[in-house]
Amino acid sequence: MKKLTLLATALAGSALLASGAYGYDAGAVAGVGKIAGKVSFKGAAPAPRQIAITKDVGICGNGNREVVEVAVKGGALKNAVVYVTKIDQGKAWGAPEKPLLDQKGCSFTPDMLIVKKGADLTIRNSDPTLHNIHTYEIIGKVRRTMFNVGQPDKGDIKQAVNVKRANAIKIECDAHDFMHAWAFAADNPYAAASADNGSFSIDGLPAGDYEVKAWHPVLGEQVAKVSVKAGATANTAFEFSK
Amino acid sequence: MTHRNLKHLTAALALAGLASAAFAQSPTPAPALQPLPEPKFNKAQADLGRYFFFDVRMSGDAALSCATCHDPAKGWADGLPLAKGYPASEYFRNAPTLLNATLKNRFMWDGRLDGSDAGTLVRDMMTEAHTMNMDGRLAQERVKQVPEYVAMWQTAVKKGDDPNGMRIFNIIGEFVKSLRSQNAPIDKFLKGDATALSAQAKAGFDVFNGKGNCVACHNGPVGSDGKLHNTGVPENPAVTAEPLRHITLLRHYSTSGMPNYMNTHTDVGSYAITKNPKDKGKFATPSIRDLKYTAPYMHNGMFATLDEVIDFYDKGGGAGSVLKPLGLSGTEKQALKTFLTEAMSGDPVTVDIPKSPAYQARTFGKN
Amino acid sequence: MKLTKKTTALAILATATIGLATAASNIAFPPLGPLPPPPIPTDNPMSAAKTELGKKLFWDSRLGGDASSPCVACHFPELGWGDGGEISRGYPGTQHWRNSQTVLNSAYYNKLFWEGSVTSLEGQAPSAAEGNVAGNGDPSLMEMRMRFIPEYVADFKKVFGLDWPRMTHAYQAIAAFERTIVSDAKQVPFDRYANGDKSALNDAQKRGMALFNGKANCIQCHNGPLASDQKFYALGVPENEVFKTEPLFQITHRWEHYQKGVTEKAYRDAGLDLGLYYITKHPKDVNKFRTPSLRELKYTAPFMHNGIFYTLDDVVDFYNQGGGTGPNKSPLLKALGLNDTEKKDLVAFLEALSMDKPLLMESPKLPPYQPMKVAK
Repeated sequence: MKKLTLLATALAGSALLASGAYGYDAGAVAGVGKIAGKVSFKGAAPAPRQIAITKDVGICGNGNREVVEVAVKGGALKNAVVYVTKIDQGKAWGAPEKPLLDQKGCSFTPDMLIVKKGADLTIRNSDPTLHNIHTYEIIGKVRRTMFNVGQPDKGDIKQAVNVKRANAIKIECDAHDFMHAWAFAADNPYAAASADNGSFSIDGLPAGDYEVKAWHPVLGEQVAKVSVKAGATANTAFEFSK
Repeated sequence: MTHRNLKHLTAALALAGLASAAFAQSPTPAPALQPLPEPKFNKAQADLGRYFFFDVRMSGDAALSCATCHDPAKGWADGLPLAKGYPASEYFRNAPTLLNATLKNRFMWDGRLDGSDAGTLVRDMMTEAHTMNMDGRLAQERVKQVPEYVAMWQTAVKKGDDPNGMRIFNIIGEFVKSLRSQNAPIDKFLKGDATALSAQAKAGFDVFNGKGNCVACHNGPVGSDGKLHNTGVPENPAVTAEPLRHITLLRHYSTSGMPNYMNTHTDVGSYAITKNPKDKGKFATPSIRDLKYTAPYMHNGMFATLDEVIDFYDKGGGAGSVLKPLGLSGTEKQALKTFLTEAMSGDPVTVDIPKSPAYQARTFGKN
Repeated sequence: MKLTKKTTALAILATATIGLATAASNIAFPPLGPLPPPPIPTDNPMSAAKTELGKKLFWDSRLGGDASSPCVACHFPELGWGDGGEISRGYPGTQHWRNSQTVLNSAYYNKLFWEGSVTSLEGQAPSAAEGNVAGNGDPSLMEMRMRFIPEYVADFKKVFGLDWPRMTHAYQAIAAFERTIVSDAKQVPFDRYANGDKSALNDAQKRGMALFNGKANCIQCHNGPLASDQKFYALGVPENEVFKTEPLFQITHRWEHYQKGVTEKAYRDAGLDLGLYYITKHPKDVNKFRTPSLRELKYTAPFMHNGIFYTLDDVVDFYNQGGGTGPNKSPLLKALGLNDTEKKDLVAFLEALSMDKPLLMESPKLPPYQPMKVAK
């Protein structure tokens, strides 16, 4: 940890902030462009999982909770995180630095959250019942518990997103086995989750050549090489299949 | 128990100079309300017990604490007809107030626990699967993981002592012992201050002791004879309409060893414990202090107001009741109600609600 | 309950001997081979209706204290029928203290749990459903819940002839379901090879197999069709670091010692998982754990009783160095002297003991509570 901080400080130059542990310098940027595009899914989407709601029906609802792992609408894939794999300096972090995850109606909102590695995640309980968030860092085939915290009452708590090496985070509730979400722990702010219609947009990117990946929690990862020019939008697309 | 009652009874009679109209000429002292005695409890343990009382980690999945159903802001009850249960369970009876609880002869609506043993009451509540579902040994290790608790334990119990599961129950019991009504006018009145009650409350007290004959069962320091009676309170339909409550009722019957439990869908009260058919529908006389704060009333919360309670007694209770109709006038009913809310109810009882201190890592291998 | 050990032994002998090392010292070990059908206890025979009921119960969180932790929560098909983590989760407010083992092929073990605490699947289920850092369920409450689920009432009547569901029978149904979670020999490269398809293993896997039976000598403990001798050994696996820093894990670690009834000194000094010692209370058994099967490793990372090895490469490195250090360390573990290629080959063979595709299944539809009809 210390080594990286020193390195970041050394790189600082005109940077306003030392980003801390993960080697990215946030600051003012000029001559920026955009990466935009669509993520699609080929073929029939797997059926969602149906999990019975067996407690707190007054708050969580009756019957089954549908857990959609592959969200496809008209061939467009939602919740794939498109990100720049390596960049040392760039724009300020923005939202991923102050992430908020809500537990409301026994659902996590958002169901795909982009957070800065090491950031304090605000976890809100908006329900009048116990939620017990349990997050896992996904390292290969293993999921390592990151934190496991109960919230018996409404209110906010904070937990640091301290991943050891990976980007993928699974979010569950130990009290309600039908609550599921994902998070992406980003090394830099150039990451965006694809929307309902598959579209994504990453702006404020200094001109240059980048490796860009699209990660989906269950469908794996795709890679592309993108050239960004100042004042222009570089288009790229990703297609996943089963 | 009897000796203590007699002493207080004689003193109360001497001081108050009350005539107990219903039982004149009887050789044994007539039943009467008595002032609250000073609470006796271990202060240091009660203070630690206060922390545990509000700490959700005293329940299995850390969803609820004692205070969830015994909330200081709700008269140390919960304001609901039927209490909630541990997550995924619901309860089939009303949560009574903890105020003055340890002055009762018996605990629980079916009177199954001895009133002199607060520790066992706490153990029952904490370890029961449908209330707090806590394993006592796991509670012990959770307590040990909180440095503030370990430190307070040394003072509360003795230096060098380890938090241990069984003693946790006793420590919370000491806190429960400390919960007493405060400044109820009836106590001043019983000790000789005739100005402590308004005219209407005094009139109500006369009904209480006379025409209403409430004092026959509602006597002693908390207004309970510590016995079990059948007053024919109607069933609460929610118990059988809501599976989660019905499950808990039948499970209570089965674990109590009651015969034919799968076909018993009414609340049979202490019969489940004694298995004596004469005890069907009998419930322990509750305290009548602080009723201002503890609606709804009865073992199943069926009466939302004291008006409903008084009307119920006026007509002689319900089916199977041992009571007789009273024939009270509207004025008498009002006076009785005023007596209960004004004379028998004190100031709200509050405590400093502690913030539960966090777990801290310990040195591994040094337990 | 009678396990058909005799039948299993005969099956082993009947199976063609494959892959026996040429080294004379290894002839004593039963060879790897395809698994026979799992043993079925005579007092819990299988039926389609029973396994279907067992599947529903396996998924049903109402079998537990607060309806948060069904069996499937720690034995999830997509996570190799384990929970994919180093140390298993517990119910809310707790953590477990050991790695969740796979249900795959658990039907073959004569003892369940890392320290062998129970001798049947019928005994494992209540330990898990009722365990105070697992399901934390009370059997009388779980049983009453089932009685308010009409579909279960009908199922128990049909399967067991009972008027009302009983917890003991619920565990039997779950055990019966678990007996269907077994490797399919047609899907396991090694089993296909053993059954005559000589092209089922590639060259690296064949080299790995030779190492397994020879230079690496895994066969000493990982033998027979189950690839486990079901005995107990200490390997000197390092303790998981979480116990040093995470409160919930420390709580459980102490609780386990306290409730297993060790001496006061052992409780106060508890800085290690004492394994088989908790059962036998014999000092020679400290830190010994039951040899797990090496089948389905492709899906059951991480490895060891505390899940500290994330990959098979890590595991092989551990054995290559002769294991770790610790009490009662088995003299069977010696530094192996495998080079990089040999290590890769060994891993390739280990993976050949797994099915080509993971065994997955759809979640069953769970029946709801209904109010019980009562006479007015």
